[in-house]
Amino acid sequence: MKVGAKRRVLVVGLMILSMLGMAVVAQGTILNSKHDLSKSGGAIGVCAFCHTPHFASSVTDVKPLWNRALQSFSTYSMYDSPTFTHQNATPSTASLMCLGCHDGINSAAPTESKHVLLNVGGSKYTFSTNFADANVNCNSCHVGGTSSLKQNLQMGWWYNPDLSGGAAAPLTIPGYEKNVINGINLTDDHPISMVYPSNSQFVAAVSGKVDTLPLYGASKNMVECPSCHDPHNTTNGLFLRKSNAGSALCLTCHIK
Amino acid sequence: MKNFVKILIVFVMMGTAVLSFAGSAFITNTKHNLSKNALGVAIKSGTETEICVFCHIPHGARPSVPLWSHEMTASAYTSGQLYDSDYLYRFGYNIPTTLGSLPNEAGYLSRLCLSCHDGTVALGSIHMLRGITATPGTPIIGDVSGTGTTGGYLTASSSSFLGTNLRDDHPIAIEYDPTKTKAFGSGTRGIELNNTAPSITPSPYTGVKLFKPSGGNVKGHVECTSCHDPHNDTNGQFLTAGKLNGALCTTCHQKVGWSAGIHKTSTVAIDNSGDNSSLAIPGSTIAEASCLACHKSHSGSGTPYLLRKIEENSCFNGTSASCHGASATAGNKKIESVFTKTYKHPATTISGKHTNLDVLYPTTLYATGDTRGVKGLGWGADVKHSECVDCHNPHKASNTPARLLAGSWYPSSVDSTSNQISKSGALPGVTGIEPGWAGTSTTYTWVQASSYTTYESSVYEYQICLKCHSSYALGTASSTPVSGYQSLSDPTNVYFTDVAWEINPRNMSGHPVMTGLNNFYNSSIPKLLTAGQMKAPWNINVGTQTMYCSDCHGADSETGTDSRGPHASNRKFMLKGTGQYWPKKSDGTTYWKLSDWKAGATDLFCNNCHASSNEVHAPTANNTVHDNYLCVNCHVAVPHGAKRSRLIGYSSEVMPYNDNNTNALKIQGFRKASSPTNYVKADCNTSCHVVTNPGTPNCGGFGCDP
Repeated sequence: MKVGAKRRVLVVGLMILSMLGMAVVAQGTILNSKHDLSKSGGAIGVCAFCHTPHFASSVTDVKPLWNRALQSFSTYSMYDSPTFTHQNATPSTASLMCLGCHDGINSAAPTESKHVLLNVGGSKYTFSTNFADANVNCNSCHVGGTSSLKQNLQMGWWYNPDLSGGAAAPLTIPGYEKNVINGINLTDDHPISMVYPSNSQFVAAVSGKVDTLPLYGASKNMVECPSCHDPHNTTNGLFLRKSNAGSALCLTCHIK
Repeated sequence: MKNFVKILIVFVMMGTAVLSFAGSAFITNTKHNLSKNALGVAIKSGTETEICVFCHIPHGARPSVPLWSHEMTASAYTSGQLYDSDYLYRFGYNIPTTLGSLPNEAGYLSRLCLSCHDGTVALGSIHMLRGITATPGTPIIGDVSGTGTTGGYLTASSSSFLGTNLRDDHPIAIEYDPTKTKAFGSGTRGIELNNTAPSITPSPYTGVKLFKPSGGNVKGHVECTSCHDPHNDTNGQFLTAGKLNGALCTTCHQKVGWSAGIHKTSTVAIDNSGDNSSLAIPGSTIAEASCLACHKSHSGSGTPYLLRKIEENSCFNGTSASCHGASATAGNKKIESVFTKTYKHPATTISGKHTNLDVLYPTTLYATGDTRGVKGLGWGADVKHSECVDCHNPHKASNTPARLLAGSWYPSSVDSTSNQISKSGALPGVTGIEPGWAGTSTTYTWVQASSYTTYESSVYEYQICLKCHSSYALGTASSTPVSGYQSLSDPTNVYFTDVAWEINPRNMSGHPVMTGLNNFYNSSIPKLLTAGQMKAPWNINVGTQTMYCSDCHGADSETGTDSRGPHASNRKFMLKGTGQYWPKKSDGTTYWKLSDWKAGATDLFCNNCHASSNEVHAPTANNTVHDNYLCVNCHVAVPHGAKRSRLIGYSSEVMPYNDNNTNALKIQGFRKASSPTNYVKADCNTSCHVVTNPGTPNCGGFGCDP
């Protein structure tokens, strides 16, 4: 092996190592992230808020040993625009799992409550509702000491400054802050459960991925919550799959 | 290794090519990239690296479409702050009265853009930044700055600043309705929009497009994003199609006759120098600049109609050598300098009175209850006007055919079609009126027109002139073509008369403006003058030949430096030709006499066309007794037409026919002779020599004039 060739190998090796190092060293895991709803010393583990090795949800397509019942709202209002009409009346399961918490609305059915896990320690588990549950960090979802949900976990409501406890926004144009919305309102959220478009304004998907962003569904062509978010990884903030510096995440798909 | 390097170089080049292509189309390299790392952009944040975030957010958007995050403008945008025009109003076009604020309302999409571009909301005022909610009213991205901004707000010093008054901006929130038409008495004018409308929110989302509010309105609407794609600056100014040759505008606007007109075909170079440097007219020739040579889609000085400058100044265009101003190249129809002359149409002296389609509103003006004011055709101080577009249609005008050859006062030859618009490229597509009289009998001799028919496109030149120079605009006169009009007389002591009344071919004599002399119903034989009484080119087709008003009226130096046409003149009545004075000599006080005529005075206006030989006035005739009589002792001083044969006026005539109320007219009865050389004393009853009742049925000969 020539010296130059050796040097190339060395450089490449160092690059690979440094990349691995970044992934390993960065504080990127679910531990202590906002998705870690566990309380120090609590009986429920980090993973159990979503996953269980046994007795997981039997709903078709709910693959990742899901520890929650999917909520069964009948009506969703999906994102529409002059250039885009929603394709499915309800989100696909890949997104419904996220919305199980993030729709911000408690189901009328007790078994679908956000406070219910299918299986913890072999039995159904229900969180206490008195904000004193020893095993759950209530503040993960609630504004401290109140029943108010944290604003940025609610995808199902129109943004309403009152819920955040902040000052009312000067919304002088009637209609912007409220609208007649049926069921779970996803109209102010990026469309999900949509077929990834194939036209000149979108980067082409290759093998069910756009760059590193995964598509879902049987044909691996659907945009779902986890297309942009990795619920286990906080490396990029906001559980984003890649950094949005320079809007890099947006521009992964959008040719704008 | 060498090959490896070569491949590497090629690969890098390919990559660069792809990047540079993409770069021109991507928002990254446009002014809409307000992020810190934007290259070559004046206005940007000092810290924020995200690009999309200035407008969009993936969750909790408000309004939700299109995942909007920028704080919205609260500007009212009521009527009066939006584009409006008499043209749209008179077409019955559905003119928006506000910009909607809900996603299903017209105007809503444009409000998104205006939330920066009207200057009322800071560029960095977004609702949420990476999960952190902004304090309303305080830009969460507080360090957006650059030339054209103050305190993070877009200001008037930026060319993209529109402000909250959009009257000078292309209409938005307006439906696209190519079916709108306006009926004239003759012809119908369409709204001149492409019948094939641009697609409504096409996919892919490219090109000129329309938007359909969901509020039950089935029509596509024009919004900012019809012409602009905020993400794509390939065409410059984020336009969805190119500017050159009117490509963008003509996607929708299809002006009849435009493609063949001189303003679409001229290769004259654009002069953007001097006071036009700020106009940045695109292209290198008039044809390339196309619509944008005269119009400015935003913030032009001339409203409505998006004109670059106010009214006639759009045509003159300041110091530009390309247009019609004082600095224009002579070949470009230098019009502005003509208007410095004494007698003129008030294009440059009266402003703000012209309204589009005014020909349809001579008196009643607007629909009942409309509050826009009273503007139409008329001679009152509130409406009197004459703008370039009253006589010219800049979308149709051409330099061909040229009715007059260079250096010539008149056409090279004349015939029955010489009064038609088709003879002059300058006049097509201009509205006009055709006067009507109920029949051909003597009942309709020397009376006001009983009706007027409006024309979408004038067929005859006089139809343009009569819009104003008739009772259509002057109002009803009682007994003579001037009765009641004296109050309108010009400070230059020019009386306005009802010219339709005067050129009515039912009159006993007149100039062949509306039709040839053979068709003058009540004119006694011989109706026409002999060829020998006329000069070229008027000595051919006498009896069938017709003429323009502008064969007599025009600039005093039409054969020289002045642009042709009756824009303005230093001669009273804008009389043109070799002789330019009538009824007085150039001194302005001395009246022309028969002896002047016999001597062939070249200053004498009539002498331009009428020959002084072989007829009753001929030098050889035995008429020396009349040598010192004035022309206006026998003939009406306004020679458009007359109640009596051969433009004879009786002493009973009023001013200005009986010139200057000096009792100039002497004749009390007249009878046309069988030929120009057959006149006898008995044909003329005057205070000088009385003949037997020439004006009564007993006068004993054919054609005794009443």
